[in-house]
Parts: sequence; C-alpha cells; structure tokens
Amino acid sequence: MPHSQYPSDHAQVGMQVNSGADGVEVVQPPSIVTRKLGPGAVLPMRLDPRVLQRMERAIEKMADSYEKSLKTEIRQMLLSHDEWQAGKQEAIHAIYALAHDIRGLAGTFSRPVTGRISNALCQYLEALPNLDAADGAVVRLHVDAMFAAAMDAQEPSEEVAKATLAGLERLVTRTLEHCRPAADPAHG
Amino acid sequence: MSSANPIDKLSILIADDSETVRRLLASLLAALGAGRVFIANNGSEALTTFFRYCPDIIITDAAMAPIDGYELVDTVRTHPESPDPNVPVIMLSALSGDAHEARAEQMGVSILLSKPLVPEAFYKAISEALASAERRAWLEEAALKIADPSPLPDDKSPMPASRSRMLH
Repeated sequence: MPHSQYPSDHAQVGMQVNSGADGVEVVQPPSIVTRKLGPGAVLPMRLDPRVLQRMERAIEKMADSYEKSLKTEIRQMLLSHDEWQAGKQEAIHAIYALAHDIRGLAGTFSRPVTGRISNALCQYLEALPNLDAADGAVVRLHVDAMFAAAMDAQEPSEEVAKATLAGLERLVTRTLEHCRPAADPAHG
Repeated sequence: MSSANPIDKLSILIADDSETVRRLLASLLAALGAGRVFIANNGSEALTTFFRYCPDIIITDAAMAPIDGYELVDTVRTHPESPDPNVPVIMLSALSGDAHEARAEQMGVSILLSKPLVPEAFYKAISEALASAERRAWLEEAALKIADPSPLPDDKSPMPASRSRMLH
C-alpha cells in the first residue's frame, strides 16, 4: 500500500509523496486547479458548446452599439486628421489611440477588414521614430479605407480587402524608406 | 466528479482602459457563468482590487495608464505582500511582436491572448492559464528547494519543501 512519508509538512501545501511497492516515489504536486475549482476538476476544461453559444449571443447583443461606436470613432479620426493637418500636433496621438482601439475590437464584432486596416495604420505609426514624423497622406488613406470598409452594412470582400491592404503596405514601405529618424527618437 | 460549470467557482478581475472591452469581457464571463467579476479601469485600480479581494484569475490589457499591464503583473508576482503571487494572468492585447511577448513572459504573464477576441480562444485561455499557474507554482517550489536544500526530518526525498507564500 502507498503511504504518506511526510504528512505534516506536505499536508500544508497539498503535496502528496507516496512510495509504491517497487520503491518508485510518486509525487502529486500541489494543485491550483483543485484549490480553485474543487476536487475532481481537471484541465483543460471541457468546452461546452452551449456555453460557446451563450458567449456568441453576448457578442451579438453588443454588436449594434459597437457599430455605432465604430462609426463615431472613424469620424473622429477624420476630424482629428483635419486638426492635425491644421497644426494641432496632439491630434495624431488621438488618431493612434482610436486606431489601436479599433484594431483590438472590430474583428470581434464582424468587422475584420476594418480591424486589419486599422492594424496596418497602427503598425505604420509604430514603425516611425515618433508619431510627429507620420505622413499626412498615408494616415489619411488608411482612415479613408477604414471609413469605406465600415460604413456599409457589409464589409468588402476578401479580394478587395487584400488588394486594399497590399496597396497601403506598398505605400507605407515607400514612405518609411524616405523617413529619416528625427532628432528625438522617443515615440510620441 | 468535476462541477458541470467549474468557472462558476471563480472570481475574475478585468483590467482594461476601454469601456467597450470591459463590457465585452464582463458579458463573456457572465455567459461563461463566472462566479464573481471585478472590473478595473486601469492597472492601479486593478492592484487595489487584487490586494483586497485576491481574485482567482486576472485578465488585463497591456497598454494602460497610470500603471500598465506589465507593471500590474510584475507587482502581483513580486510584491512581498502579494496575496497570491502565482495567480493566473491572461494578458489580452492588440500589440504583437517579439518585444511585447518577451516583456510579457519576463513579467510572468501566464497566457498572452491576441485581440480581436474570439470566444473559443477566450474560454481555452482561462483553462490554460490555470494550468500554467499550476506549473509555475510547482517550478517555483522546486527552485526554492534547489536554493535551500536543507532536508526535512527523516527526509530522503529530493522534493521541494513547502513555502507558505505559494499556496493558500
């Protein structure tokens, strides 16, 4: 019969050390799963399809309000772009913050193309020595593409999305080749 | 037997500066049947909640102010009065790249989950985060034993000694 060698010490940490008949030591490490989920719980937890359906319904319930929020955010990006071009330097930071939010959420709410274009804009801005070095036309084309993708009830096809993203990527590559590092390398 | 819905036993802390993300995560956790959900607008609020309520899992964004997700995790892992240094942490972020991943790993993030959020991946991340935390606790226990190999009375085992800060 296996027996516990160190009951007093290992009982504190939920660790069991047993010696089998063949002398091999069998160690059961302390279980966070047991502590948090109760005895008998195992990992990975079984993925219950009913739970998954509930989660998908929860997203659907939020979809309408997200649609409105997304359109508002893209309009705000256009306004911020105008302000930035008019000399308000901090407006480019607002554009980045909005793009960052959209790249994280749009895909969850059935706006993957908008999310991918937004991600492309973020990656362009993150590649710059600082946000003030951003090119106005490059930023505007990304925001216009997001506007076009998000304003219709249905996003453009995958073919159109790929062509759009490829065009934006070529533009970004050419622009970055000509972008010289600024005196202050800190990101904005 | 395991519970039909083991997540109903869990308390979960959400930390994100986006109201939409907070609402989304809270809705998904409600759909999962999470027992208790705490919501924080940033890392600072999250730390206050963590030290007060010691949730079972933390789900955090990376980029927040005044305390970001990395600093949140670092404090949870290393603060001498942390109520649970091994709490599973899921970092949810739209950031990508080696630097982000290396920093998250260095700070002790259990699971990195990319945005946009997919329900199935989110569900699996909770399960994997618990498993990861278990491995972490076990490895730390072993590391402590290596650092301090003094045997227990009658101890002939190479197994690590207990450290109360790791388990509750």
